[in-house]
Amino acid sequence: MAPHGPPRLPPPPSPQWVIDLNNLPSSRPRPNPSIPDPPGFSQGSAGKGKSSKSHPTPTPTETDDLFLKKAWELALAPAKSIPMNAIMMYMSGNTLQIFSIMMTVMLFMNPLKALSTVGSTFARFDNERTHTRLWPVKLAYIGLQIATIALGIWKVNGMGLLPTTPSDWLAWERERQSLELSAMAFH
Amino acid sequence: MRLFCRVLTGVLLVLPAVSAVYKDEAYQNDWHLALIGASIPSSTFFHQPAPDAKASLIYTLTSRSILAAINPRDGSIVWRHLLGGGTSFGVARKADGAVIAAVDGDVKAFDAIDGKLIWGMTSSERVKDLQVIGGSIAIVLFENGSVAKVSGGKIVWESPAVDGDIPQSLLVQGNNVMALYQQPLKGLRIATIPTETGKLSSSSISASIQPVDKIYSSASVVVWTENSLGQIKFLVLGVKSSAVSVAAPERVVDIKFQASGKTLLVHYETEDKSWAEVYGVDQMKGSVDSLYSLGAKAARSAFSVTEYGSETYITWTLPNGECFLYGSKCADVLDSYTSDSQNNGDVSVLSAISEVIPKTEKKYAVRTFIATSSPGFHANTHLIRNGKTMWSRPESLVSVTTSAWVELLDPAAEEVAEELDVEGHKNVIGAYVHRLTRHAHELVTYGPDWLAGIPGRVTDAFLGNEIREERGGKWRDFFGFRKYAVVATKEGGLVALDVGRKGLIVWEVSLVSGKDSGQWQGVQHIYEVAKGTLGVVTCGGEYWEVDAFEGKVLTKEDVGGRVKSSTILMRGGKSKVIIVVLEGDRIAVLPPGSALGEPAYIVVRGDAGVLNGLRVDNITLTTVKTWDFVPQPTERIHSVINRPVHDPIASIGKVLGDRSVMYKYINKNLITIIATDPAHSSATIYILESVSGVILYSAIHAGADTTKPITATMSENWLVYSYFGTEEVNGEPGAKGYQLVVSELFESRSPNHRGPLAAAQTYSALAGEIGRPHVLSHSYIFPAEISSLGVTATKQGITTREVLAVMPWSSSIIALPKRLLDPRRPVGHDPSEAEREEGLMKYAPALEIDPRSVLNHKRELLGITDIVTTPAQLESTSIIFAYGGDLFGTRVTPSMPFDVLGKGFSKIQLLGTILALGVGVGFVAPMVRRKQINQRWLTLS
Repeated sequence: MAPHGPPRLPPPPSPQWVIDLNNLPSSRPRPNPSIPDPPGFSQGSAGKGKSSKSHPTPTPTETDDLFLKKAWELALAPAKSIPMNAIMMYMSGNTLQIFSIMMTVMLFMNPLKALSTVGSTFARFDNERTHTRLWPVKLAYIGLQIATIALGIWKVNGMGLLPTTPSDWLAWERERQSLELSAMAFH
Repeated sequence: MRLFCRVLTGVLLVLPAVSAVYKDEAYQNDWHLALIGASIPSSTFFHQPAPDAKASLIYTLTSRSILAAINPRDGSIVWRHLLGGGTSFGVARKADGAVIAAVDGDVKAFDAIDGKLIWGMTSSERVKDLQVIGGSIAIVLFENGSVAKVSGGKIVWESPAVDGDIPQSLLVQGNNVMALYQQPLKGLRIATIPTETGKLSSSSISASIQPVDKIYSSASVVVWTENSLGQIKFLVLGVKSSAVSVAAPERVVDIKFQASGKTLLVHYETEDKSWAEVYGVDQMKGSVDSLYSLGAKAARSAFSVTEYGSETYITWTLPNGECFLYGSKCADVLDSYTSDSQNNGDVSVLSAISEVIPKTEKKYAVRTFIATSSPGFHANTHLIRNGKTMWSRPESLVSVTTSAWVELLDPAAEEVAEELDVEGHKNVIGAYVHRLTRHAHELVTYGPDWLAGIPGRVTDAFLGNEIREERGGKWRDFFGFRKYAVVATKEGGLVALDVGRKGLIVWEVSLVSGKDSGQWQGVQHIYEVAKGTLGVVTCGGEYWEVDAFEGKVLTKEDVGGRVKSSTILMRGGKSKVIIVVLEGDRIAVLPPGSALGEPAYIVVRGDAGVLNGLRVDNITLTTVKTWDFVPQPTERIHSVINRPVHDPIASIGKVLGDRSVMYKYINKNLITIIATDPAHSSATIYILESVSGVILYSAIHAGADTTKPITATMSENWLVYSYFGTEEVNGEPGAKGYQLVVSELFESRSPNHRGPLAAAQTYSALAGEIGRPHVLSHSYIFPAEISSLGVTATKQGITTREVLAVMPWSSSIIALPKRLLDPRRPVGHDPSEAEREEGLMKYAPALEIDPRSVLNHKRELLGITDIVTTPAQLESTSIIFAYGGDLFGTRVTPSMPFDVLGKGFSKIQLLGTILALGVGVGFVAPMVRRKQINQRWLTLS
């Protein structure tokens, strides 16, 4: 039983510009061969389509290799920023100032954010073929983010914010009590 | 550039370094009771400071050698000077526009108006008497019998003494000065010396075989008593006549003389009566005639004879404040004044001076300055004008010997304490219901008042007014600035002063009655034995319990012997037990009926200058000597110091720049013994563990002047002491001057190491090795003598401490930050990064007195011997009270007042800023909204 409804109208015809857009000619035909090309225009520059046409479509293996290459590039990107961060951290000193605090906070925030989105970062390179091959890439990426965090921890330690020395635990140490109490009766 | 640098340097040099506090910052919290002590009757007088001055001032020299000018209008001290060391005899006389006073060998003339020194003279001989002849020229009688004329601080002539004469007094008659000497077994010698030449012109001897008891001389007559007040003899001066003898009445215990012009008053005192006989001196005939006698009235009264114009007046002040005025001719009372003052009849009038000005119709303006004595309180002074007491000065408080702090009650906790107790004994629901009803009850009782008070409180808060105290008396204020300092006078009086209210006297009570004041031996110590109860242990062996808020004597017990020393044992919680050491090392425990609980260890001074540690059995109270401290044979124990009873330590270690920890050597039982060796000019400092008697540390200072004060104070894990270093130390040149030495005790030499006991929670000094401290010391040269040291105390011990030093040289108290005296200050090099982080400055051997840290500002503190501190409710604040002569109190904040808003904090400004911001946001918000909407539309088009 077909539902009753308003009579289904045929879709309106697409406007001409939509048709034109959808049916782009692979290469524009020369409008008029008698008109010379503008200076600097060479037929070869427009031959992209032609050349791509001439190349064979990449095989899935090639695409996967390409994906992995790209993924490696993405994974190793933090490695480039680590030396720069290290120099900046070293230069900013161990005093507690707004800039050094902000930079240090960034050192923790960015890697943590990145670590929480590892899956989605590499999702576009992920398919059933590359899945297993992406594991080392992801591990390298995670390792580098952890290295950045380690840099942050080093910095925080330099600032003296890590409870690593006895002085940090001094407040929990108690005064030793004497079992005997002597009263001073010499006044 | 160079020019710029020079200009900059010049400008920086011209800019004054800030070295004072602002005027409005001074005298906010501090109070000062300038006391002078007991007036010497013969050196107390009304005197016009300038010849044309309308009003006169009271000038007095006191037994503490303080010469003071008192304003008779309000009793304030116009000026005062400490002459000499203290308790020696002195004499003060009036001169034209000046006052000349002599104490020991010093004769000084002071401007009568402002007290500035006009001239001074020092003699090797002590001064016996002094008279002024015109201007400010003085004739001085020395103890060796010689007489000298002193003008402008120089001796004009000196008349030598005759051997064997005992100088008595000096008097001036016309152009002659007469010196009175007593010649043993011969009588009285009167040497007449013309003031111009200074050559002895005549010498006469009045034979008298009986020993003279009391001698008095005025310009025209000499009068003395013989035969233990049995005989009175008069000798008129200037004429050849022999002494007139009069038998004194029977049962007389005291005879005093007063003279002015031709009138001589003889004042008799018996046990229960006092009266006077008035004599007229006839210088022509050389006779003394009785004019009239005044009928006997109450005992222990005082007479004064004054002249106004040609008339001589006699005022008679009775202990109950009644005052009678007589003329010199007859016994008729010219005027009498009754007093409304109440007293218990134990008051005696020690001395009186008067100023009588006749008004119209037989009315007189009589001002009498009297010194009274009542049991426990000696020499309080009062001014009585026509029978009314205009003002009183508590001069008896000059002899405060000991003090105790009294905590006031917390109004928030005290009232509900009972209710909370009730709640504690109920089940949960019952307690909850009880609490609800209590809150409802409070809302009904206090709510309306509280609501009504809001506008007042808000305006007060905004206008920066002092917070109005809702309840005074025994209820403390919010910040706990109010506390009572209860002090005991040497004579046995107990006085409570409210230190938060500028030293207001809250109550007075006497521990002696009139009868037994002769046997009074002083208060040994005052203790706060319970909330609002004081326990007073007297040297004579009494134990008094006194209500700390009202001053009522609750109980009086006999301890059972003379008290050698006493101490209070506080074993945490509420239990406080006073342990009293009696003669023969017997022990008594107070309050009566309390028990020791467990054996106690006490430190007492033993016989022959040793220090003993005793173990007191908790049941039998028998003692066992645990240790002896015997100083070196040539040494004697100078003083023993212990840590304050309230001395909390917030942090048990000191964090260094590299974040390692130097652990403090903390031990409640540490005592410091200072032993001096006068023969070798050395002082030795011992630090002892007082349970086991182990000497933990000792330091010997060769070249320490043992005649100068050596004083010390202890707190936390450090000790500060001062002594005078002599020029030569063991044959080598030393740093001559006052040295301030700080020694700090640490658990171990190496950081992060907590000594042999490591992290043990408890230890016993008797059970085994407790480790020796690692001691760091620094010595500083201090620019002034320090007679007493103290240390600030705060509630938790978080605030840094300040060392308080009494400097008699500048009559002031200075607060030195402990940080300044840190023994870890680097010597010889600038502080490293880590040391700077720790806040250490480079060591500089000389400490300077920063005028900003002088607590009393410009006030002069005389005779301060002790300085005591107590915490306020605010952690930042410590309350200070100093006594011994003047009384002084203040509050200090060693780490700045970090827990209270400063005076500069403007609430109006804060609110104004918030309001202005709100208004601004109100204006800007629509504009911003419109702009944002416009932006969207404009980008689309």
